[in-house]
Amino acid sequence: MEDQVWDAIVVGSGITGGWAAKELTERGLRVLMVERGRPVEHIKDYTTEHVPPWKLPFRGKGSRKILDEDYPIQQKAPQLNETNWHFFVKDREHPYVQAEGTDWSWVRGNQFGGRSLTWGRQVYRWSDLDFEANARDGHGVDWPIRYGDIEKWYDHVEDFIGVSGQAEGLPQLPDGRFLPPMEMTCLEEKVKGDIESAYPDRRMTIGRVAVVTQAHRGRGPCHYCGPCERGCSVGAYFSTQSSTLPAAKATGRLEVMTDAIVEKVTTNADGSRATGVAVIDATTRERREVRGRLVFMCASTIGTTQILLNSGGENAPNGLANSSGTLGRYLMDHTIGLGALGFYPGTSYPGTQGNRPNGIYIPRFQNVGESKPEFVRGYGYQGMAIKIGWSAGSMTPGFGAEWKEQLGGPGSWMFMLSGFGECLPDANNRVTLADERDSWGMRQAKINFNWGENEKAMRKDISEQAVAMLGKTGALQVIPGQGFGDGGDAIHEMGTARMGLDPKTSVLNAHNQSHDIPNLFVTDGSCMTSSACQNPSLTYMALTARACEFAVKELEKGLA
Amino acid sequence: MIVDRRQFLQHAAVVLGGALSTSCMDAVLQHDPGSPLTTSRSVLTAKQRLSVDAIVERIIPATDTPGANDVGVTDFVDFMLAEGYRESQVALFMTGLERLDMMSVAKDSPSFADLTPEKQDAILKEVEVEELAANPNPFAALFNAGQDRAFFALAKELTIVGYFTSEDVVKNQFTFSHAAGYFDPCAELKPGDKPWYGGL
Repeated sequence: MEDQVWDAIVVGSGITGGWAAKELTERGLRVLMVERGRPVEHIKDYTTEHVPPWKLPFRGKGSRKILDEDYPIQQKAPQLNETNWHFFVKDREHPYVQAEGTDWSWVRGNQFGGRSLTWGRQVYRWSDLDFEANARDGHGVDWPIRYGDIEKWYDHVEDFIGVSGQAEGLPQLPDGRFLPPMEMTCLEEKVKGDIESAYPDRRMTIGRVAVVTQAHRGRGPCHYCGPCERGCSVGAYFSTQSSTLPAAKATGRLEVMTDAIVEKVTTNADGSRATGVAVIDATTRERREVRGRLVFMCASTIGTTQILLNSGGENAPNGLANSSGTLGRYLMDHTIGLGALGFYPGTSYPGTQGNRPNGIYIPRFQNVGESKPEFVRGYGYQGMAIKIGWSAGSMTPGFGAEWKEQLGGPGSWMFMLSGFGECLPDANNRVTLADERDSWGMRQAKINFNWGENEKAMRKDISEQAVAMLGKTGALQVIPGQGFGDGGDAIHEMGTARMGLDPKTSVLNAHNQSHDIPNLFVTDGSCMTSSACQNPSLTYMALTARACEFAVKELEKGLA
Repeated sequence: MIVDRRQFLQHAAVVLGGALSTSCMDAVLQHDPGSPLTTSRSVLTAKQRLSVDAIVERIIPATDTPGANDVGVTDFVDFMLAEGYRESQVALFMTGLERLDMMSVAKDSPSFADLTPEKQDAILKEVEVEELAANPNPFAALFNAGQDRAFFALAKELTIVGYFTSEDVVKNQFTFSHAAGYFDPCAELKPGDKPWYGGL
């Protein structure tokens, strides 16, 4: 491995790393994929899949002691629990620095497959409402692409990963290539009807989710066990392991290196071309270099930024690919927070059978058409009807025989709406390198982040509109969401190596190619020029596939 | 429909047309999920265990279905106190147990465990009313998951979890499957039907 020059090195094995590996190998390149974490083998390493509650040591409740000692930050990820905390980093082993006044949750899964194992699986296309947003209102720089540039790549990605969803014909949320949609519960149908008749500009649709509802490319359909994030032996949800890795391996041109921490991207003497990456063996701490003609950075937004900032040297004291000075700046996440909870009487709606790993979605309606609120951009809601069964007992006064019968009964319903709001790019929200080093000797990422006034105004509206909507649905009681999530809570961090038309104000061009170093590509969330309000992973995948096609053509033309 | 992991994987293998290799199936089936279960860790003294036995059985008494003592809730409470909480929360719980004994002395009993069920209920009721007065928002726990719970609130929560996740209760009082194979969005319960167990 030492002596050879790979056609491409892909740094990271998560959602975008897996896509880069698949696309580049399928286009004939010999690819080395480098992952900083441990190997996780499909099926074999899903050790908690289908384990019933009585066999879990903490019965699913987890341990406050373990959570606070090992996962003080990671536990903010809603999907983390005792059945999958082994797919999250232990915070004390992977420290980062937060600037004074910053509360930023950096949720990570440093293992092969990365966060593709535990992600929320919600996938929504962006539209030109999003790609034109910066140009329209002047926040951030213009995207170098429009919907027309990415549409066929959305098709390509959806065809491969399998997306279950319902076509709606909405201009702000383009339809995709959908497998059959999952079904709404009776209460969800009722809430949908009430909201849509009270608000003609609003629509509620079943979540568009990267879970296959019928056999798809060798993967089995969802069997409705519920907790995807433990791992899925039939591969019903998209992950690197279930989807892109088998495709890349099938070419015979993929090599995977795990427990290998990329410290920097290496360059030739004048810094004009990447030559490979410098790697630290996570176990032995031995350092070495691997060489490639192309380097694809897919190490997650903050991870990639940290590596590029650390790759400077004499030719680039501010970090590699940073002649613009924008690398690390414009960090964004979505504002995430409970909009409202509605509670519904007794057994007025039937129950469900099977556990659907998906909810509902209310696409953006603010600043669409006639709506002109006091803020720019917009938000969407995710939500679902939730059965209140025995687990609500600790919130129900009383105890004893009668109370017990009630808890064991069919239960009542609540409806939850959570907002995901667009975040504006702000140069002060940035990732830099701290003086502190991690246990491998690498300078830690330092994060400075504050929500802006636009996000605060939007957050208020998210709660008010959710309360108003659920107020139309026959709820006995509606309680507004409280608080304002920290940066990073949506786990949608992005923007620190943005794409743009002008090399003076952006890191990457329209093909995710570094303006400065033509054989360096960045296709994870750091490439994003704005955040929109849709879950971003589908767009990362589409941009990755698009960049791979371009890079291979450039390579054929003699790029490196 | 209750399917165990072996049946499930065999089903999955059929669905996938043999995409699951035999070696893979073997690897999965030989793994015993949940084997790290260790409920041996304990912090409660024999006397404290008697108190907890009494408390959890008053919260979920045996009726025509098993009570908390029938499904080993005290063991779960003990394990959670040993492994599942910060010291401050454990100390708060232990203080709560002592206080129950002191309240029992006023009712002419040396300890809470020795009181009649009626008198135990009266004391627990008094404690719950106090706790609710101090923290009237029943949903506070939803938003403050990291904070210590009051004594009786924690006792109730652990009793409910220990009881409703026990194998006996899940299998006999609910319709349980960890691989339903279908989703019925509007399943009317007919008389005699057991409610769906919604998993974790």
